[in-house]
Amino acid sequence: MKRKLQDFKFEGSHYDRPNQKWVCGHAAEGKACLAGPDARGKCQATFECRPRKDGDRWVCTRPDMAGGPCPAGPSPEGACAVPIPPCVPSPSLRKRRGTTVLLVVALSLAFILVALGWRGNRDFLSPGDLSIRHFRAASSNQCQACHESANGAPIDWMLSSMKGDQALQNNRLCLNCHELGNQPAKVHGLPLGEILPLTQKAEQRLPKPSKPIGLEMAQLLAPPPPGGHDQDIACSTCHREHRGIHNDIMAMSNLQCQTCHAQPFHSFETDHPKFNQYPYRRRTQIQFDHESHFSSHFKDPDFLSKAPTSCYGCHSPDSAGARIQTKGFEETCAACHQDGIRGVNRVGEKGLPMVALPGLDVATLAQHGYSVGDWPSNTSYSDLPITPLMIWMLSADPEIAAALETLHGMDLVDLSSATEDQIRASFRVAWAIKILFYDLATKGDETWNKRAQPLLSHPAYRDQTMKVIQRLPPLTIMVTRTRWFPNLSTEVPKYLSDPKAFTTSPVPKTPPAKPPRPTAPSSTNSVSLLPTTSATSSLLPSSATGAGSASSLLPPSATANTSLLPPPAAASGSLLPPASASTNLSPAPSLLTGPPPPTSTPTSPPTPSPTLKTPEPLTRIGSWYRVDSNYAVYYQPTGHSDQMMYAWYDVMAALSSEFKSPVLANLIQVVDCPADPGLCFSCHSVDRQPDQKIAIQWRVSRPNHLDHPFTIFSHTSHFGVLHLDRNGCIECHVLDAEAPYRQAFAEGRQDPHKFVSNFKPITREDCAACHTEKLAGDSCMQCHRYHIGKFVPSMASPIQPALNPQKSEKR
Amino acid sequence: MVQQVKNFARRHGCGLFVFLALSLLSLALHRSRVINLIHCQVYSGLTLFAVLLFLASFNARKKLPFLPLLQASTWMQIHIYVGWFSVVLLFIHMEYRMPSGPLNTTLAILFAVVSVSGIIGLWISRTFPQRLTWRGENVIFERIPAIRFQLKQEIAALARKAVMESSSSAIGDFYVTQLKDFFDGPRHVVSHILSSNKPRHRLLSSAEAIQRYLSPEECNQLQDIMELVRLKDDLDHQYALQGTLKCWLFVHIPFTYGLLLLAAFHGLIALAMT
Repeated sequence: MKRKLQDFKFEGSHYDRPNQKWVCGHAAEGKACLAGPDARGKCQATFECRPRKDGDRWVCTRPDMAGGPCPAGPSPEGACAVPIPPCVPSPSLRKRRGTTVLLVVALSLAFILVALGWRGNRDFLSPGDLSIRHFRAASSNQCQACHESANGAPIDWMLSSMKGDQALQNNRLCLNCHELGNQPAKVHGLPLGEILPLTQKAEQRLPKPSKPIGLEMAQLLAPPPPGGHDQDIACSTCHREHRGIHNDIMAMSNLQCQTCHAQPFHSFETDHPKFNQYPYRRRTQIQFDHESHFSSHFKDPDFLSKAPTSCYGCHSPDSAGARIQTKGFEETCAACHQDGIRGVNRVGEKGLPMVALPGLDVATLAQHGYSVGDWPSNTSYSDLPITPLMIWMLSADPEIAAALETLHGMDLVDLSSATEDQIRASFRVAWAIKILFYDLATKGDETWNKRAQPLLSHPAYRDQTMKVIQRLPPLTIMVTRTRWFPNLSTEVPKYLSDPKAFTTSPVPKTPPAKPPRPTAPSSTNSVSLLPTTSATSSLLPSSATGAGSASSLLPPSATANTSLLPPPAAASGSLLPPASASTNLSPAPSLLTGPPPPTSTPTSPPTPSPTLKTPEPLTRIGSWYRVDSNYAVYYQPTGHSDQMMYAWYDVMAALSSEFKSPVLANLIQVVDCPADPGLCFSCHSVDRQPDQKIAIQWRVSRPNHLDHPFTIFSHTSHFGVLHLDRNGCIECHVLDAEAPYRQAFAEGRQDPHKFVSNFKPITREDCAACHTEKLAGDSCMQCHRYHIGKFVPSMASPIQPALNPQKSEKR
Repeated sequence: MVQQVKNFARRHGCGLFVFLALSLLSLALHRSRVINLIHCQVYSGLTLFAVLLFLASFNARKKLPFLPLLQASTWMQIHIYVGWFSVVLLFIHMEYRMPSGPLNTTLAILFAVVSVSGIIGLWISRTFPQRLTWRGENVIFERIPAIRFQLKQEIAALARKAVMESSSSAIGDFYVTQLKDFFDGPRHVVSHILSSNKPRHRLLSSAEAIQRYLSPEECNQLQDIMELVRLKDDLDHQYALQGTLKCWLFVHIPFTYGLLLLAAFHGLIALAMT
């Protein structure tokens, strides 16, 4: 039988109390005292018993468990004879465990305090590395760069944690670096007025599809917080940081994208909304008919050598590989179209009429008691209306603008059927023209500046207006004045001092003496004082009907308008070359006083120069010249990219955009003539923008880094997978030979969104051939952006410290 | 075997079912919140903290035995399954990624220490009591030092007696070189935990090796000594296993409190920065 190590008999066994904190120091020797240590671990040992008095004797009371009564017994005084040697109590296991708990808790508290108080605590408390995009913020160890509540002492952090969700307040800090438009916290950054109609439109347009099962379950288990389109969204809702340097903070799953959408769908392949004329959302800025070029022009033997052999001839990917750009004019169109733009082989004037004196029925005016003083009688040979430049300058006076409006569509050469108002308006406009010439002669450039002040004071148009004004040569106008109005310096002051002196009582009506007209049908072929966009504009020499218009009013044998005019009319030359200018200016000794009084009557035409038959061939391109037979001053463009033409048409667009006056608002339609010298509008389209302003598309579409469209596409990433070596671009861009592409660019068509492309639209099925979940992927983020609009990157650096870095450092 | 499975299913079926159901529900809720762009870590973090508090309350429950709050064994079962659930919640909260950042890493390490110590404690509490019945007498842990002291006195007395009664110093030398240290305190704790009998066999083999040099009387004395060696080894076995049964809580409980403190701090920082 095995020996028993423990004795559980009551007389031989201690009652162990493991819950007590202290254990007697003699316990390890099997001699633990019965008293044991106190609660604080102090030894309470005295004697092994407390003797009991039994009659007159003291009796030992040591228990059997401790060995029973001692042989010596108590002393006569009743003291125990066996003292217990004092011990050092040891902590019990429970006590030690409690101590360990306190130690760990103390260490944890110390850990927290050190974390809060340590200077490098920002890094210590960071829940993880920031992504590579926010690396700078991480390196600067600045929590407050992204967390509003990180400002202040750690106790403030604790308090701010009680305030609830502060993610929206942190948006402000995100926007310190990220420019996301005016309403960055709104859905897609769009105002309610834009996003709500889009949603309603989608709901109406698309069938109600069933939700993906994952989305259905998610919204059942954890319904998204209630909110509408106008609810602000925190940046951190989608962009989760502190997940490591390689974490893609822009990654979003398809279900996440669809959690807000009213029309969720299962996959791109099956039920993504069908594409709507993708990617042709508007007409091209430059009118280029691929179909006619491919089928006709590029096959023409005359142009075959100049035609491109592949799409790369005219297009190339941008640096990011996203967009395919059209190359510049010099690389693409110039080979065939440069001469046409310069006016080579053009019939008629090669310049654009900028100043012209209209024909005027002076006799009828006189019958009504209105005298316009000297007015060249043979201006009726000119078929030019008042030019847009003159309308612009004359309209500076509201009364004249009103008069011009009254005369809209009228033939000033024949005022016999005009009303009294129109007669009066004709009188006022005629004098306004003479005053304009007079002002130019006496005040020079100040006249332009003063009359163009509304545009010059507009920051959006100032530069272009200045360009136009700076390029108008005053010398040209001076000489024009001396030839066209020899007595201007005396007439205008007289008119200005007493306008009534030029009005008398009407003369009894007699058949008016019509000025000589160059052709018989001219009475029906009326020339309007004001340019119009209707049928009357067909009388313009070169804009509406091309170069033949002026000639059509002349005898059939005419080949050059100057040589076919009455003999004096052809005398003018280029005014820019100093030699010819001095030649032409020689009759004018003083610009202010004008030339010597003419020997002929005021109505006689200017004397022709015996050496200059026609000014145009002698004129440099990009300069001004005057044709006295037309009573007009022309500007001849340098060719493509002529800065004057840019500025001039932009000013016309500005006038049409900014002024409600019908006369000015109509100007862009007047100048928008594809056949005008320069041929600008045969390629460049004129758009009316959503804000009703006019924009002339001078450039092809270029990627703008400020633009963040909803749909994105990278061309170059598709080059390697679409067998482009076999089919090229037509793998996706299929030419549509039947498409009425040119219609969208017809005169007066200013809505860029009403058009049909040369190419068939790309459909969802085209893309879904590869973009499935298992092949090329069908993530929303592959083709779409959340933040859409035009964002100007914010510059975080204030100017002043940048200018004076030493001072900022001291601060 | 079938009966064992039935017993296991009866005892653990309900707990397992609730654990699996809660885990799946938590996973689904987290996934749903992720899809719906809700700050899911706030929810999972608060849930995890509440679960940790509940787990820690088991210790408080043990200190309040007078309260009629279910049996301790029921609490233990709940503690075990909720503990497993907290591990699932932690993975959800960390979004199945390794923690990063000093504070989060410290928290994760603390959680791992508490969890692993709990798992080890669970295994110990299920296996060691059985092993304790295999060898030696089941002594009260607090009495082991006194019994050890008693055996030490006895072996010393036997050795002294053997030396004095014979002219040979073989037993005395054996005691001094091998037995004295063995009886001085608990020995071979790790071997006992690992169920290794090598130290015991080595000592007994050494005792048998010197037997050939002893007289018959000395051989009898050696037999008594070997019996004490066996008793001491059995006592060490009890000490090692019972000590382990008690000492794993030295890790599990203190680090639980440290974990709770740091988790609360982490939660405040997270809420402040969210």
